[in-house]
Amino acid sequence: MERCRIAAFLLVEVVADGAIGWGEVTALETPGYNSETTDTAWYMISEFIAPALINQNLSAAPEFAPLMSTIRGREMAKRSLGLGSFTNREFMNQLVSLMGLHVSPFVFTILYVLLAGSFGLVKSTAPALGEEIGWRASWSRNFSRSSDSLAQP
Amino acid sequence: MAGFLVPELFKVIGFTGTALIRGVVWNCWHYLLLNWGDYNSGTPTWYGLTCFTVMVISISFVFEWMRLKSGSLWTVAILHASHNCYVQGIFTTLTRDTGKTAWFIDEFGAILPLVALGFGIYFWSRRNEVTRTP
Repeated sequence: MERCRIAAFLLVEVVADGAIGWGEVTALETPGYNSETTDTAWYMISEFIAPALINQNLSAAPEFAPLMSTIRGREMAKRSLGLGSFTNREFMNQLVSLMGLHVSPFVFTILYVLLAGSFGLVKSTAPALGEEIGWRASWSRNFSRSSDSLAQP
Repeated sequence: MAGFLVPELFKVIGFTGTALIRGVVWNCWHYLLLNWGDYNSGTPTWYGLTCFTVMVISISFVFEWMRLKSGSLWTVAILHASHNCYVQGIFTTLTRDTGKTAWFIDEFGAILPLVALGFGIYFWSRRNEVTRTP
């Protein structure tokens, strides 16, 4: 594994009512970490995400998610401009609606835990078994953890 | 590692030494991702590395005990998968960030190493139950 000393990252500046906010696109230059790259993020932000936000009157971060509902995937590009979490009720309402369910955020959270803890566990067992055998290199190429989990990171 | 190194090392140097070496090796190859990859959290490197190191070495005693007691690779594979799935996919995801949260949660916060240390000491105290080699 070679150390990366020079890399291009996108920094997004949002100016509103005199206040300035910065967001960083965490996508890498190549799609080895996940499907997004610096260039695809640039395209998505400049062509779709930023135009959807310009002249919008947002008072809180959860109001961001509905504006992005017509854009599938591209989580890294979206997150440079903010995203909610499981502990944010408004975000959860949007997420439940997006999934096409008619349950409360609390029930959805339980469903998420059950599904992630069962099917997710099966999925996790494959790379874990590989690691225990010593198959680390293969696993690391497909490594996608915190910054790809559903609610965050 | 659990398939070959642990049982073979156990024959030579016993339970405690095997767990410590396993923990050091495990840490070393994770350091690559911690330093050169995207495997970290919102805490300073020295802090995250310290928490991660304590956690991995502590939990090594649990991994080794389960591997030797069961004679199966699947026990540690499932334990490993549970760790990744629950810590990264569920616990961290469901935790609200109150500002200092990263210092406590996930694999780079202080709580998990403390819990792992407790379990490590518990399984180390039961090391005499692991007498046979698979």
